[in-house]
Amino acid sequence: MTHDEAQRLLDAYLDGELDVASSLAVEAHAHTCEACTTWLAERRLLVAQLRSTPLRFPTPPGLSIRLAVEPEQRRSRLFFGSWPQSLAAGLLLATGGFFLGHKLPRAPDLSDQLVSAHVRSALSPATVDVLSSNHHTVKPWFAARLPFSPPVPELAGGGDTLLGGRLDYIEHTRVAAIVYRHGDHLVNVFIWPRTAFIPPAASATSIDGFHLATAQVGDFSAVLVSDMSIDELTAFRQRWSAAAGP
Amino acid sequence: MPVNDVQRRRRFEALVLPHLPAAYNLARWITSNGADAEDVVQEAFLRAFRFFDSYRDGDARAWLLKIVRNTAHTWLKTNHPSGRVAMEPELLDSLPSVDGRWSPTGDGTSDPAAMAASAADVQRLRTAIAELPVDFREVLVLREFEELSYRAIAEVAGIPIGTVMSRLSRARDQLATIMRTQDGGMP
Repeated sequence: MTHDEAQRLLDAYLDGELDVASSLAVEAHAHTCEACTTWLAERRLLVAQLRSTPLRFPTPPGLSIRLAVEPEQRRSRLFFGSWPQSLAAGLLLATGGFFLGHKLPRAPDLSDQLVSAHVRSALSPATVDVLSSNHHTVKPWFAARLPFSPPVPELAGGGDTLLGGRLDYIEHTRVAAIVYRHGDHLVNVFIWPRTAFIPPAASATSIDGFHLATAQVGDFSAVLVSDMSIDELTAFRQRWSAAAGP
Repeated sequence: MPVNDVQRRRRFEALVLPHLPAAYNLARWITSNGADAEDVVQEAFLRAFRFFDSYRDGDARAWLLKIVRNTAHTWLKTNHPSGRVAMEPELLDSLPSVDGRWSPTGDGTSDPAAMAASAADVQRLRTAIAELPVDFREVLVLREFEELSYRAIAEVAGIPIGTVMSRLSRARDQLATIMRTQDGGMP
């Protein structure tokens, strides 16, 4: 591969977007080319800085999404032409929770509560209230706020990252919610003392594309909720349970 | 209400609505102010719900972001046909601040020296990204903040993968130049 050819591919190489053959060819060239090696090092710094700086705009807490169009609520500068008739259901979805225009036939069961809490946390700009990948920070944070001290494994090294934690409210009980990232997916691990209430059955279940998996660790029950596949979540539960210890 | 309408709405809420933060972030970086970003996001979600039957399985976030991106560009054409959008001061102020919960090391420590250095870097980066032409800026946002693959970015922006590569490279080149010409320091 010539220098000019390699140069054109350096960003794609850095992003892991090249096929194996091209990637190896770029690497082979870079080993002998100081200009390319330097360029790559500087580019990696720039990209790392972009990734690690808080440049994403947080969603305004008051933003509510309407899935039906009511003419008097549209601002004058909306620009689309005539809309179809209002959709059959009028809905108002606020980032802080869900409101349906009609009564549900039954109270939400435990699995529904857990999935709703997970989705709300993903919608909120404040997915966690303590933002830290260090269990020495997160564990005492919970201990100061709850009458129990849950296990907080860090799970470093498997493609998982501890993001932090927050409190949540399930089955009329204050529970710990520990949040992890696995690739593109968010995982909430809800933990409570096993004497408080019974978790869903241990086999994984699914609601609306979100999966739940249950684990028991010492005196605690834990339910893991995520949109990753059932197989991935089961593997995650293994790692989490092993790291959380007896 | 018919059962399949309920199913449709619940499926939309579960699969598409959680990507509201990504939608808002993209709309905000394209339109350069919060009020218009909110309008764009609202319109985009209405369209997404209308066309939800066209969504099969796959990356719901990329599917939604394509709609957001197209909605935002239509907004730009309608409201700023000259292509020049004034950079509003709020653009720079309303991003999360460096103090408080966020710190570079993410462990909750607050080192004033580290945070002071970071605050200047953050401001430089925000301004530099805002100054990129919108076609470069959106590719950069989709790659660095939403971590989409080149293929997904190509789908969202409706451009060939080769164009994604060249726009991303040029966006990064421009940022590197801007950062280098300040304080003599490369980040």
